[in-house]
Amino acid sequence: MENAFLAGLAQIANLSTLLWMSIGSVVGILLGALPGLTATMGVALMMPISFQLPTATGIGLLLAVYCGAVSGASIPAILLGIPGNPNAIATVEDGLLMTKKGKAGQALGGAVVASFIGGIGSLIALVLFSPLIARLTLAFGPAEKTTLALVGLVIIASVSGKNIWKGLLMGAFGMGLAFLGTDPFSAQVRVPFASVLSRTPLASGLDLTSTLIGLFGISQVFYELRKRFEPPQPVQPIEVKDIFPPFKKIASMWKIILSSLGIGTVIGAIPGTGASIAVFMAHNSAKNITESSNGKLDLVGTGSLEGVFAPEVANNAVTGGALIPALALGIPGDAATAVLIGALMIKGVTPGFHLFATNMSLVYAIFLTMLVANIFMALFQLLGVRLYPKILSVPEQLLLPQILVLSFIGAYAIAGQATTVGIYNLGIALVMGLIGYALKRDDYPIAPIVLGLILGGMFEENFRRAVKLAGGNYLVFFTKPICLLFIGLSILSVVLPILSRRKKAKQ
Amino acid sequence: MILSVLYFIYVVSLGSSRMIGDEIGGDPGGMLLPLVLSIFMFIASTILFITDRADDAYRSGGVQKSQRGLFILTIVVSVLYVALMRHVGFIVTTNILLVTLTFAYMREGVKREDLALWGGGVVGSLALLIAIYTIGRRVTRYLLLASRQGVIPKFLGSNGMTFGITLVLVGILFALVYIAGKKLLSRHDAAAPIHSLFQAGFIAMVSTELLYLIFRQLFLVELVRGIISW
Repeated sequence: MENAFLAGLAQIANLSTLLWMSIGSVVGILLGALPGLTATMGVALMMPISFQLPTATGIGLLLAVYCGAVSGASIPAILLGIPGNPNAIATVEDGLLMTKKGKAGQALGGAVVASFIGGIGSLIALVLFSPLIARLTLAFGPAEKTTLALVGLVIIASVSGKNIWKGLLMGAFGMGLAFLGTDPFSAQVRVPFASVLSRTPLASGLDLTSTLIGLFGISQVFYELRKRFEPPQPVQPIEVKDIFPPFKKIASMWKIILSSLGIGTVIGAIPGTGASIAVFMAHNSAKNITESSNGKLDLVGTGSLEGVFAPEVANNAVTGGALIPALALGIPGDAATAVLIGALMIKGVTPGFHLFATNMSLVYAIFLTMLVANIFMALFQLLGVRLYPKILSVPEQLLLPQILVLSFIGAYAIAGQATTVGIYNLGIALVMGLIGYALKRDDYPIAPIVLGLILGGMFEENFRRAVKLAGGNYLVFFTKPICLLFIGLSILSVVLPILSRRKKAKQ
Repeated sequence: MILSVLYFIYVVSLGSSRMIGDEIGGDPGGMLLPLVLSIFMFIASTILFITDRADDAYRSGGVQKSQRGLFILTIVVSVLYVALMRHVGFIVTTNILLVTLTFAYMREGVKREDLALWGGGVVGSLALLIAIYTIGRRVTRYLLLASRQGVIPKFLGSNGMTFGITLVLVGILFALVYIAGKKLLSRHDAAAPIHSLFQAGFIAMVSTELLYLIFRQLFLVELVRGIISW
């Protein structure tokens, strides 16, 4: 174990890793600060660069972008009242009020400290729980793995978006895309117009990175183009001396910190839920705590640091929480971790117990990069607290063409030296971008497509293996307790949202 | 709904394939899951077709009338970019895409009176970019060759160093272009379209060269050369 830790440390304790993580952290903060650009999009856009780097360095870069983007979203939320992405929705209320009171510096500094606490706290949970959960998968055969993939897919499909059918349809669409390519057991080419396409790079299926870049990067450009460009809003200058909240004040908020940390980590670990749910729960919990504090704490909703701290601890706690099922089971906690899993899989690393048993040094390297990503996020955000708000004055007109080209070059670069494959990847990214735009426009969630794409292969392989091992008996999935548990969870995650929606409609 | 039917037809037309070595049977075959999926997609899309009309209020809406020109332009330019990159090359296509879109977005529409200006901007930025790119390539080649021949220390010919030195050099050249451009344009009204064009052209040049240096020189990605074959 000690050797594995030292080997993991050696993978990241080099100038190249630290440099790339610094770049990732700054890029993440900037992307997070730009309204409309999400952490998932940032991670997808940086994927092609991560492939050119050693595995631990590449994952470190992506984690730095992820943590930076989640935290950076608080900048426009506090200064302008516009969240950079849904992770900072609950920060708007108190953050903007603090800015109006002339305490923007303290709100921004408080958000950074809170994000750091959330990130480190959830990292501890990740280190403690992911090996234990991964060990549980030792009891999983093909049948259990099939139902595990099913439950991951169904949960994310049912909780993302306002209409459960849209989520399920998108999950199925993602799986359909995953089935394109070569049959893993018979090597039959499964593409439409096979006589033509079987001689192209499409015969091996859709390139995952190009698909993700199209769905998250290119589609966003088209989505932002729908409406008139709005001029950037003016941002007031920030008092630098007030940035760090007093330690006494932070210590007095220990109850809020602990509850937000718990909420963020647990919600993050549930596939499909994500930070936008956690921040509201943390905000509500903080409201209750401040109301019952007998005046010792400032009330949430009145422009208090407490109201900024709670959602910011929670949204960064989601980052570590979401990595628990991702690393231990291969089931991502949210869309950004789905992209991270995709990056790992393309590098030949399969999450789950096998990873913990055979490549513990890489697991330690991932834990350590998560620690460094949080330190860099806090460091660079505090250092640039006066500079980052300036990004808000960059007009959309200049940013959108850059995102489009970055998406294209990213999709192309995955192919490395193979130019023909690169050109096909460009086509895939563009088509997926247009599909992604049409889906976003009609309010279809994108996250289930990613899950379908990632879990589709795992589902099919294990399904066929399980049925084959059972001699063609399809009822094998109903004979094992773990399978029954997962099937029950899948049914519940579909039925409960439908019932609660009906109840709401009746009320 | 139509897509799910098409998917169903496609799955059936593919036929089922069995696992290699499945002589004793038991493998459900490669068609079963896609078939189940297509049926599920048909059912889900039918339910949505019936029920989703009530949810129309949630929809974020299509493209605003004023943005239609820009939206179509972006699609057309993107399709041309993908189609032409292989033949024309990375440098030229990327620069044209960036100049065109940045300029059109800054002018908030596709305007007939801007066409001549846009054409001049594309040619101008392309000429300048190719000149700077050529200088950068020559410096890189010199560093690689000289380090191999022992004329300069070997570390100067490494990937990172050639990237760094070329980056600094082209950075200085771009700074000079920027200063010269600003001086030339100082007599024009600040709101004149020529300012938008200069900004678009300059950003396009810097972005294209920077992407080239990062992906080609640092990560050794084979970016298509096309007509710029040197």
